[in-house]
Amino acid sequence: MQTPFAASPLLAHVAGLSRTELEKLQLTKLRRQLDRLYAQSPYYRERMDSAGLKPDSITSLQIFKERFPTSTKADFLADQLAHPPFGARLGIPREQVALVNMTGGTSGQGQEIYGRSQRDIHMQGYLHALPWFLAGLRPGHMAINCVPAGGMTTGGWGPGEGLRIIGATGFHVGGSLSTDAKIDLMLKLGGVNFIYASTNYLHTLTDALLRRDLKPREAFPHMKALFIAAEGYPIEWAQKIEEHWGCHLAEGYGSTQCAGFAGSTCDQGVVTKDGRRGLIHLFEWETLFEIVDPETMEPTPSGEVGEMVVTNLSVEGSPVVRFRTGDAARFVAHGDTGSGWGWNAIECGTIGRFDDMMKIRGNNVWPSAIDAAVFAHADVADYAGRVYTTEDGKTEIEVRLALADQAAMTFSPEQRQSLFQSVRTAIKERNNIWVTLIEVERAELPEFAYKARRWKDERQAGYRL
Amino acid sequence: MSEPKTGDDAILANMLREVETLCRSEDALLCGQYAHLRDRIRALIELRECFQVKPK
Repeated sequence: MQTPFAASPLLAHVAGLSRTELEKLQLTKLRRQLDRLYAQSPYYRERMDSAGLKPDSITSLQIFKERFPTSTKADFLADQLAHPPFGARLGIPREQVALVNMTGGTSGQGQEIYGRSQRDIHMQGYLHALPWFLAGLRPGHMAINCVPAGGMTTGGWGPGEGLRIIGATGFHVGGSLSTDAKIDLMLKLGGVNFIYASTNYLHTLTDALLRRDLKPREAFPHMKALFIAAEGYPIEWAQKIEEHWGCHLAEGYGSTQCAGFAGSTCDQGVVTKDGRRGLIHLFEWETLFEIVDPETMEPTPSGEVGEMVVTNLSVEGSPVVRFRTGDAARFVAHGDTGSGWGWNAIECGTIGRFDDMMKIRGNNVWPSAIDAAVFAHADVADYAGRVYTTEDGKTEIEVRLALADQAAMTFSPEQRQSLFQSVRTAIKERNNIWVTLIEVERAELPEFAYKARRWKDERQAGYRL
Repeated sequence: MSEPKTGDDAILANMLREVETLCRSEDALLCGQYAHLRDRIRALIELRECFQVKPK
Protein backbone atom coordinates (compact mmCIF):
# COMPACT_ATOMS: atom_id res chain seq x y z
CA MET A 1 0.00 0.00 0.00
CA GLN A 2 1.21 3.51 -0.83
CA THR A 3 2.15 5.79 2.06
CA PRO A 4 -0.50 8.43 2.78
CA PHE A 5 1.81 11.05 1.34
CA ALA A 6 2.30 9.16 -1.90
CA ALA A 7 -1.46 8.53 -2.09
CA SER A 8 -2.45 12.16 -1.48
CA PRO A 9 -0.80 15.15 -3.17
CA LEU A 10 -2.70 17.36 -0.69
CA LEU A 11 -0.99 15.70 2.27
CA ALA A 12 2.36 15.65 0.50
CA HIS A 13 2.00 19.40 -0.03
CA VAL A 14 1.25 20.06 3.66
CA ALA A 15 4.13 17.83 4.71
CA GLY A 16 6.40 19.82 2.42
CA LEU A 17 5.66 23.18 4.05
CA SER A 18 8.40 24.65 6.21
CA ARG A 19 7.49 25.79 9.72
CA THR A 20 7.50 29.39 8.53
CA GLU A 21 5.16 28.58 5.64
CA LEU A 22 2.87 26.59 7.93
CA GLU A 23 2.66 29.48 10.40
CA LYS A 24 1.91 31.87 7.54
CA LEU A 25 -1.02 29.64 6.57
CA GLN A 26 -2.15 29.52 10.21
CA LEU A 27 -2.08 33.31 10.51
CA THR A 28 -4.11 33.74 7.31
CA LYS A 29 -6.77 31.32 8.54
CA LEU A 30 -6.71 32.77 12.07
CA ARG A 31 -7.28 36.32 10.85
CA ARG A 32 -10.17 35.19 8.68
CA GLN A 33 -11.67 33.42 11.70
CA LEU A 34 -11.22 36.43 14.01
CA ASP A 35 -12.63 38.86 11.42
CA ARG A 36 -15.73 36.73 11.17
CA LEU A 37 -16.09 36.23 14.92
CA TYR A 38 -15.65 39.91 15.70
CA ALA A 39 -18.60 40.61 13.40
CA GLN A 40 -20.79 37.63 14.33
CA SER A 41 -19.98 36.49 17.88
CA PRO A 42 -20.73 38.88 20.76
CA TYR A 43 -18.78 36.55 23.09
CA TYR A 44 -15.54 36.77 21.12
CA ARG A 45 -16.07 40.45 20.26
CA GLU A 46 -16.30 41.19 23.98
CA ARG A 47 -13.14 39.18 24.63
CA MET A 48 -11.24 41.05 21.94
CA ASP A 49 -12.55 44.42 23.15
CA SER A 50 -11.63 43.63 26.75
CA ALA A 51 -8.05 42.97 25.65
CA GLY A 52 -7.96 46.11 23.50
CA LEU A 53 -7.73 43.99 20.35
CA LYS A 54 -9.33 44.29 16.96
CA PRO A 55 -8.94 41.58 14.32
CA ASP A 56 -6.55 43.88 12.47
CA SER A 57 -4.26 44.08 15.50
CA ILE A 58 -3.50 40.36 15.32
CA THR A 59 -0.61 40.77 12.92
CA SER A 60 1.36 37.78 14.18
CA LEU A 61 0.76 34.48 15.98
CA GLN A 62 2.93 35.85 18.78
CA ILE A 63 0.57 38.78 19.42
CA PHE A 64 -2.38 36.39 19.36
CA LYS A 65 -0.77 34.05 21.90
CA GLU A 66 0.32 36.86 24.18
CA ARG A 67 -2.79 39.01 24.16
CA PHE A 68 -5.93 37.12 23.15
CA PRO A 69 -7.78 36.04 26.34
CA THR A 70 -8.11 32.30 26.91
CA SER A 71 -11.49 30.63 27.52
CA THR A 72 -12.30 27.74 29.82
CA LYS A 73 -15.13 25.28 30.16
CA ALA A 74 -16.52 27.46 32.99
CA ASP A 75 -16.56 30.50 30.65
CA PHE A 76 -18.53 28.54 28.04
CA LEU A 77 -20.99 27.20 30.61
CA ALA A 78 -21.59 30.73 31.95
CA ASP A 79 -22.07 32.00 28.38
CA GLN A 80 -24.61 29.24 27.69
CA LEU A 81 -26.48 30.10 30.87
CA ALA A 82 -26.66 33.77 29.91
CA HIS A 83 -27.50 33.12 26.25
CA PRO A 84 -29.19 29.72 25.95
CA PRO A 85 -28.82 27.32 24.35
CA PHE A 86 -25.58 27.90 22.40
CA GLY A 87 -24.15 30.95 24.11
CA ALA A 88 -23.13 34.18 22.43
CA ARG A 89 -20.03 32.44 21.11
CA LEU A 90 -22.00 30.51 18.43
CA GLY A 91 -20.78 32.72 15.58
CA ILE A 92 -23.40 31.67 13.00
CA PRO A 93 -27.15 32.37 12.82
CA ARG A 94 -29.02 29.78 14.92
CA GLU A 95 -31.03 28.72 11.84
CA GLN A 96 -27.77 27.58 10.24
CA VAL A 97 -27.07 25.05 13.00
CA ALA A 98 -27.34 21.67 11.31
CA LEU A 99 -25.92 19.46 14.04
CA VAL A 100 -25.86 19.87 17.80
CA ASN A 101 -23.05 18.29 19.78
CA MET A 102 -22.44 18.31 23.49
CA THR A 103 -19.46 17.33 25.58
CA GLY A 104 -19.78 14.13 27.57
CA GLY A 105 -20.39 15.66 30.98
CA THR A 106 -17.93 13.33 32.68
CA SER A 107 -16.21 16.26 34.40
CA GLY A 108 -19.29 16.85 36.54
CA GLN A 109 -19.20 20.60 35.79
CA GLY A 110 -21.82 20.56 33.04
CA GLN A 111 -21.96 19.97 29.31
CA GLU A 112 -20.77 22.43 26.70
CA ILE A 113 -23.07 22.72 23.69
CA TYR A 114 -21.82 23.22 20.15
CA GLY A 115 -23.85 24.22 17.09
CA ARG A 116 -22.30 23.06 13.83
CA SER A 117 -23.15 24.27 10.32
CA GLN A 118 -23.54 22.08 7.23
CA ARG A 119 -20.02 23.11 6.29
CA ASP A 120 -18.79 22.06 9.75
CA ILE A 121 -20.37 18.63 9.36
CA HIS A 122 -18.16 18.02 6.34
CA MET A 123 -15.15 19.42 8.20
CA GLN A 124 -15.93 17.25 11.22
CA GLY A 125 -16.03 14.25 8.90
CA TYR A 126 -12.75 15.34 7.32
CA LEU A 127 -11.15 15.66 10.76
CA HIS A 128 -11.96 11.98 11.30
CA ALA A 129 -11.14 10.83 7.77
CA LEU A 130 -7.75 12.57 7.77
CA PRO A 131 -6.17 10.70 10.73
CA TRP A 132 -7.64 7.41 9.57
CA PHE A 133 -6.29 7.96 6.06
CA LEU A 134 -2.89 8.63 7.62
CA ALA A 135 -3.25 5.34 9.52
CA GLY A 136 -4.00 3.36 6.34
CA LEU A 137 -7.76 3.56 5.75
CA ARG A 138 -8.55 3.90 2.03
CA PRO A 139 -11.66 4.26 -0.15
CA GLY A 140 -13.40 0.91 -0.43
CA HIS A 141 -12.14 -0.43 2.88
CA MET A 142 -14.43 -2.10 5.40
CA ALA A 143 -14.32 -0.37 8.78
CA ILE A 144 -15.67 -1.21 12.23
CA ASN A 145 -16.54 1.74 14.45
CA CYS A 146 -16.76 0.57 18.08
CA VAL A 147 -17.58 4.03 19.46
CA PRO A 148 -21.33 4.42 20.09
CA ALA A 149 -22.87 6.26 17.11
CA GLY A 150 -25.41 9.06 17.06
CA GLY A 151 -26.66 10.85 20.14
CA MET A 152 -25.29 14.25 21.11
CA THR A 153 -21.53 13.77 21.03
CA THR A 154 -18.98 14.62 18.35
CA GLY A 155 -17.68 11.06 18.71
CA GLY A 156 -21.18 9.86 17.88
CA TRP A 157 -21.38 11.71 14.54
CA GLY A 158 -17.87 12.42 13.29
CA PRO A 159 -16.83 8.83 12.63
CA GLY A 160 -19.90 8.09 10.48
CA GLU A 161 -19.32 11.20 8.39
CA GLY A 162 -15.59 10.49 8.20
CA LEU A 163 -16.05 6.96 6.89
CA ARG A 164 -18.76 8.12 4.48
CA ILE A 165 -16.77 10.92 2.90
CA ILE A 166 -13.61 8.91 2.54
CA GLY A 167 -15.57 6.25 0.67
CA ALA A 168 -15.19 3.43 3.20
CA THR A 169 -17.93 1.06 4.30
CA GLY A 170 -18.64 1.73 7.96
CA PHE A 171 -20.23 -0.69 10.41
CA HIS A 172 -21.22 1.32 13.47
CA VAL A 173 -21.38 -1.44 16.02
CA GLY A 174 -20.51 0.60 19.11
CA GLY A 175 -23.15 0.62 21.80
CA SER A 176 -25.58 -1.48 19.80
CA LEU A 177 -23.98 -4.94 19.86
CA SER A 178 -22.37 -6.90 22.68
CA THR A 179 -18.67 -7.62 22.32
CA ASP A 180 -19.37 -11.22 21.30
CA ALA A 181 -21.98 -10.08 18.77
CA LYS A 182 -19.44 -7.63 17.32
CA ILE A 183 -16.94 -10.44 16.92
CA ASP A 184 -19.54 -12.66 15.24
CA LEU A 185 -20.36 -9.88 12.79
CA MET A 186 -16.69 -9.18 12.05
CA LEU A 187 -16.10 -12.86 11.35
CA LYS A 188 -19.05 -12.93 8.94
CA LEU A 189 -17.80 -9.84 7.11
CA GLY A 190 -14.55 -11.60 6.41
CA GLY A 191 -12.56 -8.67 5.11
CA VAL A 192 -12.40 -6.09 7.87
CA ASN A 193 -9.63 -3.56 7.17
CA PHE A 194 -9.90 -1.05 9.99
CA ILE A 195 -11.14 -0.73 13.58
CA TYR A 196 -11.77 2.47 15.50
CA ALA A 197 -12.21 2.07 19.25
CA SER A 198 -11.33 3.67 22.55
CA THR A 199 -8.11 2.32 24.03
CA ASN A 200 -10.12 0.60 26.72
CA TYR A 201 -12.52 -1.01 24.27
CA LEU A 202 -9.79 -2.30 21.97
CA HIS A 203 -8.39 -4.01 25.05
CA THR A 204 -11.82 -5.54 25.81
CA LEU A 205 -12.30 -6.66 22.20
CA THR A 206 -8.85 -8.23 21.95
CA ASP A 207 -9.29 -9.96 25.29
CA ALA A 208 -12.68 -11.33 24.20
CA LEU A 209 -11.21 -12.69 20.95
CA LEU A 210 -8.40 -14.40 22.81
CA ARG A 211 -10.87 -15.86 25.29
CA ARG A 212 -12.65 -17.43 22.34
CA ASP A 213 -9.32 -18.91 21.21
CA LEU A 214 -9.35 -16.66 18.14
CA LYS A 215 -6.06 -15.20 16.97
CA PRO A 216 -6.94 -11.73 15.65
CA ARG A 217 -4.18 -11.75 12.99
CA GLU A 218 -5.50 -15.04 11.60
CA ALA A 219 -9.19 -14.19 11.93
CA PHE A 220 -8.72 -10.78 10.26
CA PRO A 221 -5.77 -11.07 7.88
CA HIS A 222 -6.77 -7.98 5.85
CA MET A 223 -6.58 -5.57 8.79
CA LYS A 224 -4.62 -2.45 7.84
CA ALA A 225 -4.75 -0.54 11.11
CA LEU A 226 -6.35 -0.26 14.53
CA PHE A 227 -7.05 3.29 15.63
CA ILE A 228 -7.48 4.28 19.26
CA ALA A 229 -8.18 7.48 21.12
CA ALA A 230 -9.15 8.87 24.48
CA GLU A 231 -6.87 7.10 26.97
CA GLY A 232 -3.27 6.36 27.82
CA TYR A 233 -1.67 2.92 27.78
CA PRO A 234 1.68 1.28 28.42
CA ILE A 235 3.95 0.71 25.46
CA GLU A 236 4.16 -3.00 26.30
CA TRP A 237 0.39 -3.23 25.81
CA ALA A 238 0.63 -1.49 22.42
CA GLN A 239 3.35 -3.91 21.31
CA LYS A 240 1.21 -6.89 22.38
CA ILE A 241 -1.80 -5.48 20.52
CA GLU A 242 0.25 -5.07 17.32
CA GLU A 243 1.56 -8.61 17.74
CA HIS A 244 -1.91 -10.07 18.26
CA TRP A 245 -3.46 -8.24 15.32
CA GLY A 246 -0.53 -8.30 12.90
CA CYS A 247 -0.95 -4.65 11.96
CA HIS A 248 0.02 -1.33 13.40
CA LEU A 249 -1.78 0.52 16.14
CA ALA A 250 -2.50 4.18 15.45
CA GLU A 251 -3.67 6.88 17.82
CA GLY A 252 -5.32 10.27 17.52
CA TYR A 253 -5.86 13.24 19.76
CA GLY A 254 -9.29 14.74 19.39
CA SER A 255 -12.20 16.29 21.23
CA THR A 256 -15.50 18.06 20.70
CA GLN A 257 -13.63 21.36 21.03
CA CYS A 258 -11.38 20.32 18.14
CA ALA A 259 -14.45 19.16 16.13
CA GLY A 260 -12.80 15.80 15.63
CA PHE A 261 -9.15 14.85 15.58
CA ALA A 262 -6.50 17.52 15.73
CA GLY A 263 -3.55 15.19 15.36
CA SER A 264 -2.61 11.57 14.86
CA THR A 265 0.19 9.15 14.34
CA CYS A 266 1.03 8.94 10.69
CA ASP A 267 1.98 5.74 8.88
CA GLN A 268 4.38 4.80 11.71
CA GLY A 269 1.88 3.95 14.47
CA VAL A 270 2.26 4.33 18.24
CA VAL A 271 5.47 2.33 18.62
CA THR A 272 8.67 3.30 16.82
CA LYS A 273 10.83 0.73 15.08
CA ASP A 274 13.22 0.81 18.02
CA GLY A 275 10.46 0.23 20.58
CA ARG A 276 9.89 3.78 21.84
CA ARG A 277 6.63 5.70 22.03
CA GLY A 278 5.59 7.19 18.69
CA LEU A 279 4.28 10.68 18.07
CA ILE A 280 0.90 12.23 17.40
CA HIS A 281 1.62 14.82 14.72
CA LEU A 282 -0.64 17.85 15.06
CA PHE A 283 -2.81 19.03 12.16
CA GLU A 284 -1.79 22.60 12.80
CA TRP A 285 -3.19 23.94 9.56
CA GLU A 286 -6.68 23.08 10.88
CA THR A 287 -6.19 23.62 14.64
CA LEU A 288 -3.75 26.02 16.21
CA PHE A 289 -2.04 24.46 19.22
CA GLU A 290 -0.23 26.01 22.14
CA ILE A 291 1.28 23.74 24.77
CA VAL A 292 1.88 25.69 27.93
CA ASP A 293 2.68 25.53 31.61
CA PRO A 294 -0.81 25.65 33.18
CA GLU A 295 0.40 27.90 36.00
CA THR A 296 2.40 30.49 34.08
CA MET A 297 0.97 30.04 30.54
CA GLU A 298 4.56 30.11 29.28
CA PRO A 299 5.26 27.80 26.30
CA THR A 300 6.38 24.32 27.37
CA PRO A 301 9.88 23.37 26.21
CA SER A 302 10.17 20.42 23.85
CA GLY A 303 10.17 17.16 25.83
CA GLU A 304 8.16 18.53 28.77
CA VAL A 305 4.51 18.02 29.74
CA GLY A 306 2.14 20.96 29.30
CA GLU A 307 -1.51 21.84 28.87
CA MET A 308 -2.91 21.98 25.37
CA VAL A 309 -4.66 25.22 24.39
CA VAL A 310 -6.51 25.02 21.08
CA THR A 311 -7.97 27.35 18.46
CA ASN A 312 -10.16 26.15 15.59
CA LEU A 313 -8.99 27.52 12.25
CA SER A 314 -11.53 25.59 10.17
CA VAL A 315 -14.79 25.53 12.17
CA GLU A 316 -17.47 28.21 11.88
CA GLY A 317 -20.18 27.08 14.34
CA SER A 318 -19.22 27.39 18.04
CA PRO A 319 -15.50 27.66 17.33
CA VAL A 320 -13.06 27.67 20.21
CA VAL A 321 -10.36 30.33 20.37
CA ARG A 322 -7.53 29.80 22.85
CA PHE A 323 -9.54 27.19 24.74
CA ARG A 324 -7.79 25.64 27.73
CA THR A 325 -8.45 21.93 27.31
CA GLY A 326 -7.05 20.76 30.65
CA ASP A 327 -5.42 17.93 28.66
CA ALA A 328 -1.82 17.21 29.58
CA ALA A 329 0.62 16.04 26.89
CA ARG A 330 4.35 15.72 26.38
CA PHE A 331 5.27 18.29 23.72
CA VAL A 332 7.73 17.48 20.95
CA ALA A 333 8.74 20.46 18.80
CA HIS A 334 8.74 19.94 15.01
CA GLY A 335 12.53 19.99 14.86
CA ASP A 336 12.72 17.10 17.34
CA THR A 337 10.17 14.81 15.68
CA GLY A 338 12.57 13.42 13.09
CA SER A 339 9.78 13.64 10.49
CA GLY A 340 11.26 16.52 8.53
CA TRP A 341 7.83 18.17 8.52
CA GLY A 342 6.95 21.51 10.07
CA TRP A 343 4.28 19.98 12.33
CA ASN A 344 4.73 19.93 16.09
CA ALA A 345 3.82 16.73 17.92
CA ILE A 346 2.85 15.19 21.24
CA GLU A 347 3.88 11.84 22.63
CA CYS A 348 1.59 8.84 22.11
CA GLY A 349 -0.09 7.01 24.94
CA THR A 350 0.54 9.49 27.70
CA ILE A 351 -2.20 12.10 27.28
CA GLY A 352 -3.81 12.76 30.64
CA ARG A 353 -5.98 15.34 32.33
CA PHE A 354 -4.70 17.99 34.65
CA ASP A 355 -8.04 17.79 36.46
CA ASP A 356 -7.94 13.96 36.70
CA MET A 357 -4.82 14.25 38.75
CA MET A 358 -5.22 12.95 42.27
CA LYS A 359 -3.08 14.31 45.03
CA ILE A 360 -2.36 11.23 47.13
CA ARG A 361 -0.08 11.44 50.12
CA GLY A 362 1.57 14.47 48.59
CA ASN A 363 2.16 12.84 45.21
CA ASN A 364 0.63 13.90 41.90
CA VAL A 365 -0.98 10.72 40.57
CA TRP A 366 -2.59 10.42 37.16
CA PRO A 367 -4.87 7.45 36.40
CA SER A 368 -3.09 7.09 33.06
CA ALA A 369 0.20 6.51 34.89
CA ILE A 370 -1.34 3.74 36.98
CA ASP A 371 -2.88 2.24 33.82
CA ALA A 372 0.61 2.20 32.36
CA ALA A 373 2.00 0.34 35.38
CA VAL A 374 -0.83 -2.21 35.62
CA PHE A 375 -1.28 -3.00 31.94
CA ALA A 376 2.43 -3.49 31.43
CA HIS A 377 1.56 -6.94 32.86
CA ALA A 378 -0.04 -9.05 30.16
CA ASP A 379 -1.54 -11.42 32.75
CA VAL A 380 -3.77 -8.65 34.10
CA ALA A 381 -7.16 -8.32 32.40
CA ASP A 382 -8.44 -5.16 34.08
CA TYR A 383 -8.63 -3.28 37.35
CA ALA A 384 -10.57 -0.71 39.34
CA GLY A 385 -9.12 1.59 41.95
CA ARG A 386 -10.39 3.66 44.80
CA VAL A 387 -8.84 6.09 47.21
CA TYR A 388 -10.55 6.29 50.56
CA THR A 389 -10.13 7.43 54.12
CA THR A 390 -9.96 4.81 56.86
CA GLU A 391 -11.78 5.16 60.16
CA ASP A 392 -8.61 6.43 61.77
CA GLY A 393 -8.23 9.08 59.06
CA LYS A 394 -5.49 7.53 56.93
CA THR A 395 -5.55 7.66 53.14
CA GLU A 396 -5.57 4.22 51.58
CA ILE A 397 -5.46 3.13 47.96
CA GLU A 398 -7.12 -0.10 46.93
CA VAL A 399 -6.74 -1.70 43.54
CA ARG A 400 -9.09 -4.55 42.67
CA LEU A 401 -7.47 -6.53 39.93
CA ALA A 402 -8.71 -9.34 37.67
CA LEU A 403 -6.35 -11.75 35.96
CA ALA A 404 -6.58 -12.62 32.29
CA ASP A 405 -8.40 -15.92 31.74
CA GLN A 406 -5.36 -18.10 31.18
CA ALA A 407 -3.55 -16.76 34.24
CA ALA A 408 -6.70 -16.93 36.38
CA MET A 409 -7.08 -20.62 35.53
CA THR A 410 -3.49 -21.79 35.71
CA PHE A 411 -1.50 -19.56 38.09
CA SER A 412 -0.31 -21.08 41.34
CA PRO A 413 -0.48 -19.04 44.58
CA GLU A 414 3.24 -18.32 44.20
CA GLN A 415 2.79 -17.06 40.64
CA ARG A 416 -0.09 -14.84 41.79
CA GLN A 417 2.04 -13.44 44.60
CA SER A 418 4.89 -12.77 42.23
CA LEU A 419 2.60 -11.01 39.72
CA PHE A 420 0.98 -8.90 42.44
CA GLN A 421 4.35 -7.89 43.80
CA SER A 422 5.46 -6.88 40.33
CA VAL A 423 2.30 -4.79 39.78
CA ARG A 424 2.67 -3.08 43.20
CA THR A 425 6.31 -2.30 42.48
CA ALA A 426 5.50 -0.93 39.03
CA ILE A 427 2.83 1.37 40.49
CA LYS A 428 5.25 2.51 43.18
CA GLU A 429 8.01 3.17 40.63
CA ARG A 430 5.81 5.26 38.35
CA ASN A 431 3.67 7.04 40.98
CA ASN A 432 5.53 6.85 44.26
CA ILE A 433 2.59 5.27 46.10
CA TRP A 434 2.09 1.81 47.55
CA VAL A 435 -1.34 0.29 46.95
CA THR A 436 -3.28 -2.62 48.41
CA LEU A 437 -4.06 -5.20 45.75
CA ILE A 438 -7.09 -7.48 45.88
CA GLU A 439 -7.82 -10.13 43.29
CA VAL A 440 -11.39 -10.21 42.00
CA GLU A 441 -13.27 -12.04 39.26
CA ARG A 442 -13.31 -10.29 35.90
CA ALA A 443 -17.11 -10.05 36.02
CA GLU A 444 -16.91 -8.00 39.24
CA LEU A 445 -15.22 -5.13 37.40
CA PRO A 446 -17.24 -2.66 35.31
CA GLU A 447 -17.00 -2.72 31.50
CA PHE A 448 -16.71 0.51 29.56
CA ALA A 449 -17.94 0.99 25.99
CA TYR A 450 -15.95 4.21 25.57
CA LYS A 451 -13.74 6.05 28.04
CA ALA A 452 -12.83 3.98 31.07
CA ARG A 453 -13.42 5.52 34.49
CA ARG A 454 -11.48 3.13 36.64
CA TRP A 455 -10.88 5.40 39.63
CA LYS A 456 -13.11 6.56 42.44
CA ASP A 457 -12.00 9.12 44.95
CA GLU A 458 -14.01 8.40 48.10
CA ARG A 459 -11.81 10.29 50.53
CA GLN A 460 -14.35 12.96 51.36
CA ALA A 461 -16.90 10.30 52.36
CA GLY A 462 -14.47 9.21 55.04
CA TYR A 463 -13.95 12.69 56.43
CA ARG A 464 -16.22 12.25 59.42
CA LEU A 465 -15.96 13.89 62.82
CA MET B 1 -34.12 14.56 -27.92
CA SER B 2 -34.80 15.96 -24.42
CA GLU B 3 -35.38 19.67 -23.92
CA PRO B 4 -32.37 21.77 -22.92
CA LYS B 5 -32.18 22.18 -19.16
CA THR B 6 -32.82 25.58 -17.67
CA GLY B 7 -32.69 27.21 -14.24
CA ASP B 8 -31.87 24.91 -11.29
CA ASP B 9 -31.69 21.85 -13.55
CA ALA B 10 -29.09 23.48 -15.77
CA ILE B 11 -27.01 24.53 -12.78
CA LEU B 12 -27.11 21.05 -11.26
CA ALA B 13 -26.32 19.39 -14.61
CA ASN B 14 -23.36 21.71 -14.98
CA MET B 15 -22.20 21.00 -11.41
CA LEU B 16 -22.44 17.27 -12.09
CA ARG B 17 -20.27 17.58 -15.20
CA GLU B 18 -17.68 19.60 -13.26
CA VAL B 19 -17.63 17.30 -10.27
CA GLU B 20 -17.21 14.23 -12.49
CA THR B 21 -13.88 15.76 -13.47
CA LEU B 22 -12.94 16.17 -9.80
CA CYS B 23 -13.84 12.53 -9.18
CA ARG B 24 -11.05 11.48 -11.52
CA SER B 25 -8.57 12.93 -8.99
CA GLU B 26 -5.69 10.67 -8.10
CA ASP B 27 -5.64 12.05 -4.55
CA ALA B 28 -6.97 9.16 -2.46
CA LEU B 29 -7.79 11.48 0.44
CA LEU B 30 -9.94 13.72 -1.75
CA CYS B 31 -11.52 11.34 -4.28
CA GLY B 32 -14.01 9.96 -1.77
CA GLN B 33 -15.01 13.48 -0.76
CA TYR B 34 -15.50 14.45 -4.39
CA ALA B 35 -17.60 11.32 -4.91
CA HIS B 36 -19.66 12.28 -1.87
CA LEU B 37 -20.29 15.71 -3.39
CA ARG B 38 -21.14 14.21 -6.81
CA ASP B 39 -23.67 11.82 -5.34
CA ARG B 40 -25.38 14.60 -3.36
CA ILE B 41 -25.77 16.46 -6.67
CA ARG B 42 -27.05 13.30 -8.37
CA ALA B 43 -29.66 12.93 -5.63
CA LEU B 44 -30.82 16.52 -6.11
CA ILE B 45 -31.08 16.01 -9.87
CA GLU B 46 -33.09 12.86 -9.35
CA LEU B 47 -35.51 14.31 -6.83
CA ARG B 48 -36.21 17.16 -9.28
CA GLU B 49 -37.21 14.70 -12.01
CA CYS B 50 -40.84 15.14 -10.91
CA PHE B 51 -40.78 18.44 -12.78
CA GLN B 52 -40.27 16.55 -16.05
CA VAL B 53 -43.84 15.25 -15.90
CA LYS B 54 -46.01 18.17 -16.94
CA PRO B 55 -49.56 18.33 -15.55
CA LYS B 56 -52.22 18.33 -18.27
